[in-house]
Amino acid sequence: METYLVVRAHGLKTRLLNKNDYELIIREERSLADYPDYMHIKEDDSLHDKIEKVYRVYINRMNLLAKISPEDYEQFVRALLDRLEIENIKIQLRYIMGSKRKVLYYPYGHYISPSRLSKIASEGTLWETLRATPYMKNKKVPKFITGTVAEREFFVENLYYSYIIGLINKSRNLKRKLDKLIEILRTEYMGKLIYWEKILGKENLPEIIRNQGIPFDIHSVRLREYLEKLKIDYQEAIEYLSTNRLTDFLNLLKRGLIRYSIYLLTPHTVELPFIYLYNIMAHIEAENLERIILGKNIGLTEEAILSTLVFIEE
Amino acid sequence: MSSELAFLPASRGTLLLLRRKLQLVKRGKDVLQMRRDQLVKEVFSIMDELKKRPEAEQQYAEASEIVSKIRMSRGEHEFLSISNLATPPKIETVIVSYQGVAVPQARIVIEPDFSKITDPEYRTALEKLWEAVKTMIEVANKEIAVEKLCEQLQYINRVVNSLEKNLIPKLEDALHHIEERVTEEEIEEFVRIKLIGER
Repeated sequence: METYLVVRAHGLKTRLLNKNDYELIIREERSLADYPDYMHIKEDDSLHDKIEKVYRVYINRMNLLAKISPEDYEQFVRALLDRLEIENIKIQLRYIMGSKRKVLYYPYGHYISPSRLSKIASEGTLWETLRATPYMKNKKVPKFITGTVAEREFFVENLYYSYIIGLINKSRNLKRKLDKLIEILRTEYMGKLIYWEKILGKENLPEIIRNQGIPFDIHSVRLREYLEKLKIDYQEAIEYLSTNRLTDFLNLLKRGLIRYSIYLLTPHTVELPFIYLYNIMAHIEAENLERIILGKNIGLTEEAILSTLVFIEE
Repeated sequence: MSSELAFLPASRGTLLLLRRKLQLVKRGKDVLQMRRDQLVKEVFSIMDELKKRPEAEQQYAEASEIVSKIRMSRGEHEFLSISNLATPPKIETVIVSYQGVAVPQARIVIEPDFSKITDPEYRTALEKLWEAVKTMIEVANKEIAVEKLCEQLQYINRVVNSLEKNLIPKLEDALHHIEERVTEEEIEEFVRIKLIGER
């Protein structure tokens, strides 16, 4: 069954767009609707409709894999997709604590649908709703030290990592097969900690970590070692961090993580970890297409759009 | 006015009336010319500030491009929700007097609050964009002031021209005509009285 699942994922992988396809779309030599998976996206669809349809393709691809998976694998495949639900929760948190202007949700809900989430009007109700989901089962809302939205977002993100690690550790079968994936998730989380240190402040993060607890036993991130592990240029990364160019830093990190994931998971291309790799690739395709649609809509240059895309071939 | 002037009776009373009228119109013209000079001075002083416009546009274009790039790179979902954390500014329209000319002006009543945005990249980009928008508002205020002052100038020019080229020459003509008539009548009267006296 596992082989069938992985073979289907390999089949789906052949349908992913490559660098040349992105370039053709950016140069408007081909439209998105020319690709079979995206043929339902019309030129006259609104910007948000187009973005939603792009993400629906990603969700449908992962849902297809979840449907044909055995039970414990299915949970794992859905957990990969649940990252979108966590993003939706963060979006709703910002909405509640912000100016309550229109926001856009990912068209995905496993435990909380976007329509249900969008009706939650207070922070207390949001935590109550989350407590009824596996993300926050048997967990209390910590006392937030800085009182910022970012600290709450950090907590939500930690809930996700705890949830997926818990899911892998719960099943002996999954734990055996996905040990390298835990290493990848740990590495990914370390990158997140670098980002959160910039957001929450170097002086606050240790106390927040002590207060909230984190899913991995990480005391500190040695930046140079970490970047070397991901084959990221140290000087470039430091420049981005010191000048607060976090978008560029996150893109650099994403490229490094993909390289690292491919390196670690290459010996397992016909095993379950490949599903994780496929998930990254499919998600990146959705993100790239969103960037192209947005960039075109805003009127940015082809070069500017192209420079933000992440290519798997690297 | 001109048609009225043609039918005025030639008398000393009319002469006095016309002289008073001409004096009043000339004084009015002088006052309007002074006001025109004052407005021109004001327009020129504002024009200096309008030179900021290309710089403001450049500043806005740059800030807008940075925000657009962040929006594209981070995605619409994150961008919209992070923007939600900013409290929007409150801008009102008030009427301000520029040398007595009523000019509508945009006034920032409440500045936007970006304190909830902790991502330094977002925050810096949005703060820069707001600074650019603020400069653009200032420039727009000055532009509308110049527009309204110029409308007023146009009106004053029309009135001054009309006084200078139309009313004053007509009044002077009428005055001159009536002066002649009155003088003629006085000479006639003098001659008649002299003839009666000789008889």
